[in-house]
Amino acid sequence: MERQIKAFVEETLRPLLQGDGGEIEYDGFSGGRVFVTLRGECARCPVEERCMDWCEAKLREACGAGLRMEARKKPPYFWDT
Amino acid sequence: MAHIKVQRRSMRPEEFIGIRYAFLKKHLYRYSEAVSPVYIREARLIDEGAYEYYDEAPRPIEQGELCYTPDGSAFFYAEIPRFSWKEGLCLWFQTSSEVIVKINGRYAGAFDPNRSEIDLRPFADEQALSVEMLGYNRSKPDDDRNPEVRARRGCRQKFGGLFLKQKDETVQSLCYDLELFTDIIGSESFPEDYRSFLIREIGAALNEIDLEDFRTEDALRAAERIETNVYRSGVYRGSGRVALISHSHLDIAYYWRRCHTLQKNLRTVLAQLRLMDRYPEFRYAHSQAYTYETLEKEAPEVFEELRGRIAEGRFEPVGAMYVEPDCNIPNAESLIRQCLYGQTYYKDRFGFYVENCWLPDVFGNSWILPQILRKSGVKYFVSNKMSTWNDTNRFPHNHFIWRGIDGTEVYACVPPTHFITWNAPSQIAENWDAFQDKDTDTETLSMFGYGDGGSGATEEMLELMRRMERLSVMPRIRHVTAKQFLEENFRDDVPLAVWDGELYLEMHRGTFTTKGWLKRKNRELEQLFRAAELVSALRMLEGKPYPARELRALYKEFLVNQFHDILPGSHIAPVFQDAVRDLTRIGERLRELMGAPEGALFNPLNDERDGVEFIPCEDGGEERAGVRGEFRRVSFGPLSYGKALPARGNADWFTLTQNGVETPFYRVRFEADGSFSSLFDLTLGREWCGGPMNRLMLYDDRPGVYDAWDILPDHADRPCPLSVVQSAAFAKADDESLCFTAKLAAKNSAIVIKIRFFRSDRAIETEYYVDWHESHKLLKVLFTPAVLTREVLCDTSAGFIRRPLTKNTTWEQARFECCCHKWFDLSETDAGFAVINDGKYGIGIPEKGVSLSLLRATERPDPGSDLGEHRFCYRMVPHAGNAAEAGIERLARVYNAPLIRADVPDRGKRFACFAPLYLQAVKLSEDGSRVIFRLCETDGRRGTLRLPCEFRTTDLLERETGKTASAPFTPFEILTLALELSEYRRIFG
Repeated sequence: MERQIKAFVEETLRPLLQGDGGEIEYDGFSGGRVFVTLRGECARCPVEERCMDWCEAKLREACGAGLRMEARKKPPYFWDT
Repeated sequence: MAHIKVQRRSMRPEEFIGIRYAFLKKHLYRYSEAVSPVYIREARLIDEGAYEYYDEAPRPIEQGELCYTPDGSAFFYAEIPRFSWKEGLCLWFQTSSEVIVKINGRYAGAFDPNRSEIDLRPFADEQALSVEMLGYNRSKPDDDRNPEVRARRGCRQKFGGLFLKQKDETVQSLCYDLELFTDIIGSESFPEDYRSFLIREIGAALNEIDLEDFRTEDALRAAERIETNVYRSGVYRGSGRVALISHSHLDIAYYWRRCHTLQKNLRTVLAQLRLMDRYPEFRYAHSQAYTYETLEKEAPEVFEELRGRIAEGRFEPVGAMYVEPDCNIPNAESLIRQCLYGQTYYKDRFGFYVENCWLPDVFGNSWILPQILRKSGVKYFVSNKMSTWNDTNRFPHNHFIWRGIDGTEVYACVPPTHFITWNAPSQIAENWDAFQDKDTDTETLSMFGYGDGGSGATEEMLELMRRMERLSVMPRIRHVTAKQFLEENFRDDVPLAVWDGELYLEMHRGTFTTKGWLKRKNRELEQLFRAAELVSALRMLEGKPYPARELRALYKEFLVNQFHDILPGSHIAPVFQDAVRDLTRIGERLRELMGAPEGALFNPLNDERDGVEFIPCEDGGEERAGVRGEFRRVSFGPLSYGKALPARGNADWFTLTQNGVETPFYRVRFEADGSFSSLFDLTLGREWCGGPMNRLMLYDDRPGVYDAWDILPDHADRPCPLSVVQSAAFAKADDESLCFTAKLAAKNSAIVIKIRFFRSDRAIETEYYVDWHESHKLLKVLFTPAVLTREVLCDTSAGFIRRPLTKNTTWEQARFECCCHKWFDLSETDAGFAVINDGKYGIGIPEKGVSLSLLRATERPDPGSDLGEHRFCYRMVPHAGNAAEAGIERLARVYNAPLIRADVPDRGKRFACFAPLYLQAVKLSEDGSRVIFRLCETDGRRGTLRLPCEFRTTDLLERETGKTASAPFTPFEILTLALELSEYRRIFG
């Protein structure tokens, strides 16, 4: 299961977010929660929760209905103010 | 008594003007009706013209629903079955995305962050409308000035609805007036008295507007009052002359992939063509032959319309080059091909060559450019970058003559302000204020139009221009074509200053190094193209066909990848992935075209080769840069087969010492980190170490938001530790080479260093394997030879430039990181020290010595930039004499153009006629009638070639300029000779 989730984040979602100058990193999976880090443009997006909702819906379609996605932002130092 | 600063909190008159302007905007439309239903089909563009769809079929979308997806596109459809046109009717869509609109199967226009309306006048006779819209979610770059649109940005955007709206033209016109005057009121570039006058007059005019009860008649009265009291007032007089050229900067790839640029380009062109329908005075300049070529395939009907506007002189191709390439890193032949393929396309499709080089955004310009431009039919060079982006010195001219490395001159225009403006009066006044060549009595150039991702002029910009022409306070403005501006302002009788040197940009110094893979591949492919064309031309001597079409197509694809946000590394991850895919495939195909993997070793250069080289072979005992093989002393004549001399069977040619080794050329002592504490030259009897030598240095590299672009000088204040995992130690040797290895570690990276000495060659090679996982770090290697000199010679690919090592002036201080091609050299009168690299382009000039920049780890625009494995090499060459006497350029060519396996006729002796010039290219001419020989003088000498027959001389566009059997050449000159095919076979066959 975790391998499938990790592959989905890295191989399906990641190229999409990279296409907008963003980046998503898989951090882990625990108790139905998928932890990811958002970097690049995603780390300063004012509406990233909309995007994460969409990503979560896609994740559920692909890997299981009960999954939740939890994202933390890690902006580069020059935006981390 | 304490002083209390009086601060006005009550509303100022200009604020009240702003409030009433906002009120008027709310009454811009008399009538609004939502189009319903609207259908959407979400998708993602995965390659040129290829979508993957998220919806099986279009589905209805309601206002307020989210649309678009990360990196997504969306197709919208709507039907308006009972359509009845009335004056001012438009289709209205407010979006942060970029949308191409077709109505009833015809390209109708575009929506984007700065365009919300499509004029429906062309559909006045239609009874029903069928609307198709192709949208792309990307709203970068940040030129969306409408705050309502900005609020819609993001991968997931709220669908605000598609509407039919009828505009109140009176209100619209008054709004344009207010846009104009509020900008002037807020600008200190205009006289304070005039701004006070405007505040009074505009405020009084707007008193006609009843904020409780809007009526168009009131707006009309306000406009009439402005007309009488402001436009017709000639009391306040402006000064200066400003030419306005409309364009749109279009990055072929940046925060978007090349496949998206096809849409951006179509949207841009479409928007400009629709403006031309309505504004007969409108002229628009569009650059890059590539954008025309792709448009021709993507939307032939739009291309035909564009061609008609070109014929009218309203749509103007600018920029002789195929794309707007980086102009630091590509070599001379690449820049020549940019011109050749760009100009050939223009001539073929439009019937003329473009006489200007339009590079508003490139990150500095090599000194070799003027010669290449002039010989490619280009008289004028245009680039904004040095005036607006230099971080230390104000570039002293806007209009000047640029003298190149060989002495060739072109007219140069560096406009004083940014290349993206929205034609606001304040921007035009600032342009004139900043213009430094007022006393030449010429016009200054202000470009207008949104850009980076295309877009161009808007209705507002043109309406402002009409109004500004009538305002006496403005500088005298003229809307012109680029050709008109350049021809009228750059003439022999205008006293222009001369800039004799490169056009160094005091910014974006990191782009010589960022994304090292691209740089190394660029060098490799430039050599592979040369070899593939040469081999193909030699095979013609045996009657084999020259694969002209395929080589040209591959070259063009390569040239696109030299675009100024691709090769410099300033792009997002998918752009890098595209480039890796393209360049890898191009390399494979070039090797296939050369064929003969089992053929004999052949020297593709017209230089002798007699040093030690790495010969790839599966059973070799050495591994270098991931390839198995062996080092062998070679003996090859120019363009000839030769031999790699057999092993001499013993490895007793060196002596290991404590912490070092003695070779036939050097007595060496290592530091633990692999650098040299001593490098004593046994032949020249001198010590080369004058400080840290071949020492790896790691720095904290934090240039801010221009992460991938910039290196700042303060990196030197923040060195980072490199720990020694394994001290430099003897590893292995054979009869020709010996190798020491050292292993170092950074915080998250491992570095393996191999240092090789040779039995028969003075060169010392260092090879790196780096598993690189740093964040915001810069890896350099420092050379501090014991050489007393105040200059470093740097290869430009077509001659060398002398760069000062001194820090006496701010100009010298600002050049702490520079572009350098294959080699740099530090020399005294009778000896020197050169470093020859295999794909690095950045050198640092610290207080002492010179560094070669190896790797960076930047995060914007690509958080994963440069992370992973890297392999690269360079050679140190201590030498007698100066760089030219030591043949450093020849050694560097040899190092970068490996021996190839070939099955071509051995005609080396016949090509000896071109010595001592570098045979930079041999190719079939574009028209297929001749063989072209491109020659370059690289050592700064003059002389005469004695040719075996009468050759034709041509320019770089392969146009004949004369005939000669004896060709004089001057320092750093590029010559092009041509032979008819029959003559080619007779002389060389």
